[in-house]
Amino acid sequence: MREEARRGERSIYLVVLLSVVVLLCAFAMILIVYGVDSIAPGVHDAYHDFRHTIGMPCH
Amino acid sequence: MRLKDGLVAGLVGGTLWGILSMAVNGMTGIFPFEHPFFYNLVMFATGGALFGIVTGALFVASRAVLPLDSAILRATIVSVFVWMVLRGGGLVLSYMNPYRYHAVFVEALQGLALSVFLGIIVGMAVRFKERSVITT
Repeated sequence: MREEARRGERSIYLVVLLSVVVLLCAFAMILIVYGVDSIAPGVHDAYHDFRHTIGMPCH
Repeated sequence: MRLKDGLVAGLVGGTLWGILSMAVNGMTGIFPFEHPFFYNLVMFATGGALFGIVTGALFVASRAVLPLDSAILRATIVSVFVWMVLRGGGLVLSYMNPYRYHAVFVEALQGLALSVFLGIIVGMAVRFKERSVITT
């Protein structure tokens, strides 16, 4: 019984952790797609070719 | 499918997709690359991995909204939806600041086709992952 509860607790922690990872990845993806240098300096130049290749507006 | 499996499938499929995108653009020549090959390889792989992870996560979350049997079809719908949302945001930015954000139609067409490829690759990775879970 206790072991099951512990396992359930661990899986909840895992889902929360993975959800945070997904949110961070989504945030990073937005920075890359729009080349937001004000938040991540250098991201515009670093992913310039990638951005154009996937058809996102750029200069 | 569990979230963890969706993320792993997205990570693997997205990384492959990033490299495939680079190859496709190299063949079409729609945007001439400005950076060296190996530099771009890393950037396309990491960028693709991020797209794949987000697509994989939304794929798992979309089960209730899109009750389709085909993993490839569902992943394709999700990846095209993600691309369209991002592209829509880009168009808004382009309208607000046309000097900074130029929208190029041919690049957008290539991007749309690549988003379909992303869905197919992530869907195939999901199917592979599901089969390997069933057999083990």
